[in-house]
Amino acid sequence: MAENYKLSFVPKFEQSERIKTLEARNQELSKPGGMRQFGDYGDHRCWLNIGPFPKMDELPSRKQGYRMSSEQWGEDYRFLLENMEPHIYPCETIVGEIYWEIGCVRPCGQQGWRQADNADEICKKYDESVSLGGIPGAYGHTCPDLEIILTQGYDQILERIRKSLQKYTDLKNERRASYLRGLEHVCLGCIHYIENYAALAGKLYEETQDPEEKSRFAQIAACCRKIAHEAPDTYYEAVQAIQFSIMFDRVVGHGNGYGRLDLFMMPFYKKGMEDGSLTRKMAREYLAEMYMKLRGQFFSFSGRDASGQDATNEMSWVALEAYDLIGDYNNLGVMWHSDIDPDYYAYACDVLARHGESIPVLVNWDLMYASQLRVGIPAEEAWKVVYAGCQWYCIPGQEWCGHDTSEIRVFEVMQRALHKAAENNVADFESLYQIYVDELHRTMKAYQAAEAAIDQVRGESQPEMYTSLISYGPIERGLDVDAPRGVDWQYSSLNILGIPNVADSFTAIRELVFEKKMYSLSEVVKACGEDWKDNEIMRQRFLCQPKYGNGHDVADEMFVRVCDTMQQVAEGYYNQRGAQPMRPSLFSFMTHVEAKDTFLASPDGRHKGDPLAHGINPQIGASKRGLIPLANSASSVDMRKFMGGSIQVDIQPKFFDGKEERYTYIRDFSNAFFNGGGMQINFHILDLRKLEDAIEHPEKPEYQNLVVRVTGYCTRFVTMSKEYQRDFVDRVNHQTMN
Amino acid sequence: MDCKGVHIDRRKCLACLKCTEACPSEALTPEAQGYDYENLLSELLKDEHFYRANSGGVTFSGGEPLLQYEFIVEIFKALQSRGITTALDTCGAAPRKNLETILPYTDYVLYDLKIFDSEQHLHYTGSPNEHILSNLLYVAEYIRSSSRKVHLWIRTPLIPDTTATEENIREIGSFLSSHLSDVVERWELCAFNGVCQTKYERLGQQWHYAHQSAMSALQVNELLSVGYSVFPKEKMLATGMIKADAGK
Repeated sequence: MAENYKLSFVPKFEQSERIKTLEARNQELSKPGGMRQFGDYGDHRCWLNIGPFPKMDELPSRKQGYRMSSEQWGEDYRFLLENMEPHIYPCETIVGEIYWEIGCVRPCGQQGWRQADNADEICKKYDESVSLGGIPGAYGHTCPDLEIILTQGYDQILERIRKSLQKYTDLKNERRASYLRGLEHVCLGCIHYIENYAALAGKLYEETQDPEEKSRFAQIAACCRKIAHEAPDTYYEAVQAIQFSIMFDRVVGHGNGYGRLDLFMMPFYKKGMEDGSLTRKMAREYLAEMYMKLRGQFFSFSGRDASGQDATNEMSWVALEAYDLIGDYNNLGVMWHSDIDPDYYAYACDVLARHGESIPVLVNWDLMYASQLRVGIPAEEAWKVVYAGCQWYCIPGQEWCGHDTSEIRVFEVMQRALHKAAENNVADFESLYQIYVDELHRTMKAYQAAEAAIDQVRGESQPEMYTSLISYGPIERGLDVDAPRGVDWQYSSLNILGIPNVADSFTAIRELVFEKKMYSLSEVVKACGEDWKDNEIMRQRFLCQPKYGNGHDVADEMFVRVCDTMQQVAEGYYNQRGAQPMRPSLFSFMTHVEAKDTFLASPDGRHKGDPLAHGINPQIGASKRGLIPLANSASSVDMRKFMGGSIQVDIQPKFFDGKEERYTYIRDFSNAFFNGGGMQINFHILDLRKLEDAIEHPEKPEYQNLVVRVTGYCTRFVTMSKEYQRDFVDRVNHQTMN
Repeated sequence: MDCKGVHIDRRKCLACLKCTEACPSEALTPEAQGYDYENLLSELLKDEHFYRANSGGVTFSGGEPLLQYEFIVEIFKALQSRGITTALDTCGAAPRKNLETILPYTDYVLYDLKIFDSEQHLHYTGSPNEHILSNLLYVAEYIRSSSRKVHLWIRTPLIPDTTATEENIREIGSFLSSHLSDVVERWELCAFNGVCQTKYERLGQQWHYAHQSAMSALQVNELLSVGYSVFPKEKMLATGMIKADAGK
């Protein structure tokens, strides 16, 4: 099998036969329709789909009857882990995989709170909010702190849980005691799962004659026996502990990030190198193995340390080299800052240039840090900030903001405002804009009420208990990470859908309706309602007004205004769980495509049914002046006010024809973008013709390992649905980097 | 306008551009845009971070920037005061005074030498070349006497059967070697390209080179070899559209 795949990049490190074997299995699992296929999104699943959980009837919640209770959630979770049969595959040294998430066996997410006693009341508020373009959906998408596992181990954590349980039992706080009994189940389930692996490795050791395999099984067995209870001591044990920990977290649900791998692995790396038990090659291969098994979990490297100095260390290199070794689906980020080690940043850009797969993501640490300071997180905590998912970031183990899962659809808000303004026959643009602001408040109020209603029951209906186990607060407080004040920082992070469309629509309306008076607002609303039927000339006029994404002052000023309005309105609303403000993120996950059929035509010249703009990327076709004007437009807004926002930069490979040191183009462009206030770049170097061909011929071997970053996540291109593939290739593909 | 679309009678065109304002779909757009000092500087400074990232800067090219030298000098001054590199891309056909005024604020001079033979130059460009060569020698003198580092790049466009001849390249190279070898940093042979074709079409004009294909690597390399025979090889390079395969 190992011979059947081809590398899609220029390798810097030679793959050993062992890594080739592991990579071949990894690719087999990830092929179209494979065990990792996840709906339209591609091979996005972190668990292997082997069918339904076979012991559903024995599940505690089935036997006892479902209760909306974190304690029962913990029992179910433990039962699930204890019944995941261990598997160890040829050549593996890092083991452990999962086959079900908790959502496969009990209601979670929206299905969770819909079981609440007051579900009707919550649903009413939820529906009201959704009808106004506010979509509450928070779950996961936070970053626990793996350092807790690496320094404490499960026995110590269990002891902390039992101590806290005793306290709340003595104090007759049954609610918190019940939660902690659930957490005890979770911890015991994890220990059991790891012990199962120790037992299997021990058994295989006895049965195997091959000395190499035998040695490997001995290594696995010893490691698992230890880390089932204690904190790891060696680099290898630490990698294995992380592998298990992330798998356990994934059983909770999909979507967390896992922090600064280079920082928390450095002590293990240093110790191994000093005592001679580790080489850089071994360190690289263990991590590469973990990357292949973990399936693209978010890790980030570099950034600054507590004293503000560059945090790049030798592990920052090893962690990128591990990806460089295997390529493939990964979600790694390099956190740029103005003092980043230039050699390391050059290597990061070189990896990007050679692989072309938008890995690593380049993100501006200085802005993330400033954004955290801006909302009151003290500097001694804020420096820990980490890029942890698509476009978002947080303080590991201390934050639960529901990143990337809730959304305010300003596009819908604008449409309501246009109707209302047309009915009222407003005389000037400012009157229209005031109606838009009023409507945005209406949406935010409804959203706030819906989220508060869900927050009331979230900790019991959809707890995230393993995540809580490796966060700061839940054990001692007896509260889940997503329950009110379970952790210290609980802002509401809101994705904003359609900002460029709203900005461009307002720019066009101001000019053509209120300045030139070529059309009335009623005519515009009517034409959009009819998808510009018999009004193509009118549509062309709206389409040809200045658009965001071209460095055009008028269009960019409107974009900044719409962004700032969103931020000012949102931050006036506080959530219930943390009594902390709502913070907009200039991003949308996939709703710009998924919900496109529900959106009418718009005054930016867009037709009904066309996708909206993705995040702060210009509407498809609107960016006409090239990459630098686009970058200038995207950084025209003060990103410190927002919780993230990325631009997609897709370069045609022919741009690099005849050019040496390709990485310098990426390095220089990104340096300039970040120095100018840009937040995040997802860089592709992809041949549009190949992608077109891959849509038609997904079976061709050369396309099987074609990895793309769709919005914030990566996937194999051929595993996405055709519609998502089409949206991807329709994005602007830049011929040059000017 | 009729069923075949919009027709423009260029003989009657006053360049008022009202047609571009009336056109709803940007099928007709102005080819140029006017800027005053403030607006142009503001536009240029939008890219300031990008200039700094890779030691880039601002180049004024043609038309002929020396014909607007007073305006450009002010812009160059503003750019230089911000540490941004300035470059002048000129054909050299302008009064000496214009050059004298602008050189103190110029970091790079990109100087066109198209045809060495003055009669040929007159034939193809409408002007002899003595003053162009004289201006170039002035630039060289300025560079020699300047305490500031000023870079001089010579550029020769390779137009088939016109400038792209062995004789022309040899003559230009010999001139450079004899008079300017101490100050010329590089000499570029800029291979012909046809990207202006659509502009001619939009303006309703015929273009002599409408069907001219790009030069092959073989053709360009032959001219480079001629250049190498009279000018330092390490300072020469070929740029522009070159057909790689045809040269094999």
